[in-house]
Amino acid sequence: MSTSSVPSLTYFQGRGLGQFSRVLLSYLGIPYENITVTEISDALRATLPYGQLPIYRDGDFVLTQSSTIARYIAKKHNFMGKNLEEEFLVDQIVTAIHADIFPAFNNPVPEKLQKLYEKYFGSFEKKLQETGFLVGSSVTLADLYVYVGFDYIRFRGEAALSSELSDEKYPKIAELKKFFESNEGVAKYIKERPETKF
Amino acid sequence: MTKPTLTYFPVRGRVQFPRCLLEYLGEEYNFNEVKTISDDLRKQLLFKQLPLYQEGDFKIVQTPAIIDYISEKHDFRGKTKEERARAHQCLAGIMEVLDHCLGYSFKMDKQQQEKFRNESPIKKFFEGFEMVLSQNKYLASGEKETYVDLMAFVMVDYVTNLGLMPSGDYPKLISLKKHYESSPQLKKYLESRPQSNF
Repeated sequence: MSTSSVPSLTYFQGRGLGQFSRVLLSYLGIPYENITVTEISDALRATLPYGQLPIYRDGDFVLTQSSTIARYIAKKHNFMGKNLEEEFLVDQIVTAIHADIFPAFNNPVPEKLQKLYEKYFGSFEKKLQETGFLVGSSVTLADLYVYVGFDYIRFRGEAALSSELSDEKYPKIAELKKFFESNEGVAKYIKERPETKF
Repeated sequence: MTKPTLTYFPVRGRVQFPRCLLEYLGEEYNFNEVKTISDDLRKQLLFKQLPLYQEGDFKIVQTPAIIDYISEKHDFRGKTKEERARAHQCLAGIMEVLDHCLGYSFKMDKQQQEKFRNESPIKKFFEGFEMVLSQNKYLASGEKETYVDLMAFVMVDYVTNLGLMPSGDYPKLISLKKHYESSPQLKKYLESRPQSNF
């Protein structure tokens, strides 16, 4: 277990659900300890409320559920929008990616995935074309989530029907990707992360 | 102030979570029951999905985002950032339980239900909630109840109704269920809600 004074994020070596918070912490320039494991040992399992990773530790404060971790960090660093309404508009996008898009990879059905991408990424693209940001008038966790989700599907390749998410079809989301990847912290993280299968 | 409106199908499904919350908090609201999603309604839906929560010009979808928004309005999310994050961590778990059950509960025969209860993918969540409640009075680990205690009741009530309660003993969750079932604020809704099997 980490004894460091900086927060730690524990997840498998792959990108998966750990990616959202890793990219977020890197983008916000928050130092953190990136702990990777190959399996959940009994000792680790005993500390996990639902037997699942990722887990985030900040001193004595322990948190699981990737969307909860990301929202907690974002809220702490004013990255959830400018007011209450914006916070919950961000939340609905974060929830959509976690609850609707990610589970679809478990049993991928090409026709279903295609429709799913059109429905969600189509709506994100439209919003970005209209206002430049997914929520409000500045970048928020919602934009970062859409970038990470989009990028992750492309990384997963044809098993995840990645060819559906082309720059031509989603030019504004592709711009979002460029925006985040030009951030110093994110660029450093991407350069250093290991090549993995998931 | 405008009375909020919740739009959903004539079943319990996802909408029972925000409905129970509004009932418990004593907030008047309109329930707009629809059999199908009309073209007009579809245009208002960010991801073409229900439930939809509307309050004046403010519209929000995704059940957890709706729950969080209502709770914030009523100061029912927890006192500190940490408490709110712990509540959200539990809510994310509750939504995973809901997703497991909603997907195929009404397609199961008695034998499949029995198998589900014994090898339940939701068991780890019930054990996690039970553990938190055996160490703390409330799920967010604060000194007062928050929305997530009520949401845990709705989860247990729903899973019981579907005949999918995982095997094992959950005295704290059962006690939580009894507590909210006897709540005068919920009585009317619990008696008049749709008798649907999902």
